[in-house]
Amino acid sequence: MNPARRQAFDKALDAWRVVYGFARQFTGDAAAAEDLAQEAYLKLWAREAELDLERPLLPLLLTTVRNLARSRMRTQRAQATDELDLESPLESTSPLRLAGVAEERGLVREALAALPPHWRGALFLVDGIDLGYRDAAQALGMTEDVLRVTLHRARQRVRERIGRVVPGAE
Amino acid sequence: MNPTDPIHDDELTRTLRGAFSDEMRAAPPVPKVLVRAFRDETAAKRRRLTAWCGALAVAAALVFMLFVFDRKGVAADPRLALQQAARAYLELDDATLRIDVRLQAIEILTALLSDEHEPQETQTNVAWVRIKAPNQMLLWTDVAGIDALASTVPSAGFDGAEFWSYDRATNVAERTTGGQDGASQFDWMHVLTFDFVRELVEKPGEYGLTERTNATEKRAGLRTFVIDRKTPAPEADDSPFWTEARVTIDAEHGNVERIEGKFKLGPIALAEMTLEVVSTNDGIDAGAFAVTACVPKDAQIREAEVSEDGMRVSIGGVTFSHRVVESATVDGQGPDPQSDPSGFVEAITGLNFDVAQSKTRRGMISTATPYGFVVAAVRADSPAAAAGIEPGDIVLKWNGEPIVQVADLALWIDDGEDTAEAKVEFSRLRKDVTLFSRDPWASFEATLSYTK
Repeated sequence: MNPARRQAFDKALDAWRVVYGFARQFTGDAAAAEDLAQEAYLKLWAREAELDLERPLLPLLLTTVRNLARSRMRTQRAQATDELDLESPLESTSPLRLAGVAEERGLVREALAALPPHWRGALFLVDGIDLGYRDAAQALGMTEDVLRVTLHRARQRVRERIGRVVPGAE
Repeated sequence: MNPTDPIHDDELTRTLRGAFSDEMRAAPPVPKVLVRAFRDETAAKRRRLTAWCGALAVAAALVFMLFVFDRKGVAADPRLALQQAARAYLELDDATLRIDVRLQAIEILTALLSDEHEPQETQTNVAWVRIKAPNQMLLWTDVAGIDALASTVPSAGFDGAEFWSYDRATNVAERTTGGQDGASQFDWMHVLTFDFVRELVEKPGEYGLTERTNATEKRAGLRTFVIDRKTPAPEADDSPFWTEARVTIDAEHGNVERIEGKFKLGPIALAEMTLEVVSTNDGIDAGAFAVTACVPKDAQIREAEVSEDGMRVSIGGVTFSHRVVESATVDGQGPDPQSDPSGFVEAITGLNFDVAQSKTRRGMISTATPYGFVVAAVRADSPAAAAGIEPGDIVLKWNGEPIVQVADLALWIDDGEDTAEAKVEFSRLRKDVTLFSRDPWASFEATLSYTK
């Protein structure tokens, strides 16, 4: 196998959790997120010949996830935000063992669940995986300015919901 | 920057990151289907194989296109087109002329144009003409390097070919070396000027040819022409067709222009070019005589009949015949009774006397041998044949007058009526003659009707 291809694909597979996590922000369902992420990878693989393997594949994967999610949400708009599965994935696998932390993160999940999907996606990319503004904006299909505004509003909303447990928050 | 921008709120960021990390940690393992797709060599090999197959297909297509375009290029390149056109062969099979394209011609021309033989313009003006007819035709070449040409031909399988070179400047045709006698599958191999062959192909009608190339032949690069059977048959006397033929036969064979003229003349002209004239009378060098015997301009032709079955020409009592494909009748002056009394008599009566044996004693042991002129041959369908005279008979008297010399008989006929009857007395050896027969010769009398 072409070394460049192998390296690029290895990195892409290593980013599986990130891609899955990003998909999770749009689906609110663990199984749907996995399907979404997997579908994004397969689409990437199918387009191998068109890929520039010198560049990171993660932004492309994230963009694909977002596009797929948007496509799915058009058909399942009614369930987009109201049926977020907030319990099972985290309850089953969450390492949160400390009661305080668990309480705090429970509030955070609750606050995040109340946000629009692309707000959650923005928070995930920037605050969750520390992705740069430019790549995050590209993955979300928005300008950096819009991303900043989106992040501001999302954080504001989360801060309002968990203000009592986040020191310094209003 | 907005002081309230939560980007500066490290605590909130940490909290969010922790929540997202939990989600990511809860991610299922990478699906195997993705691992296989992204790390399986087989898929890559399959893709590479597909790519190679595609490349091979493209390469094959390119080669094919190159081949096609190359063929077009041959036609587009004047030099190559010249060679290609010069590959034309001319085949004469009975009345069919076939001009085709053969690989050998390419090889020959290629050899001529190779380094071994410095390319010359005159050498490119060569077309090979193969003639496969029963009656062969003499054609000539204006190829300058005839020696080089002859040395090339045997290697191309044309052993035995006979070559003639024609120098247009001096109007001299010479036979050249090349080939071995009797080894050729062709009776003749000739070289014709390329320009002429091209003209034949382009203007077949002007040479009495009609193209009969079918689709298969066309695909094979063959051009087939047949002699136009609709060419007006020559009329008696003032037939321009026949007149032109006379001119042709009188001409030197080494004249290309005359050859072209022969084509214009059509089948009869072709017939005149043959060397296969057959004499029906012994003692005549038919091969040497044929060229002028057929239609010499001032020959004393008594009769020349040409038909589908053949041509018969009677000159001075000698009949020649050979195959031709058209018919013509030409009247002319007969043999002179004074300068050629035997020919005159033969032309009128059909009697061919064996002058050398005349007045000799004939018989077995008998002394009663009559005198006269022994009949060497009797022309078929002649007055003599109608009268029942046969070869070997001895003609004794003509209208009661003993024949002393043939010149007398010629004068009697010449002085008589144009249409007359003669009483002829002749002797014939008995069939039952024995050693003791007193008179082995039987006398006969017959009436011979003739027209001058």
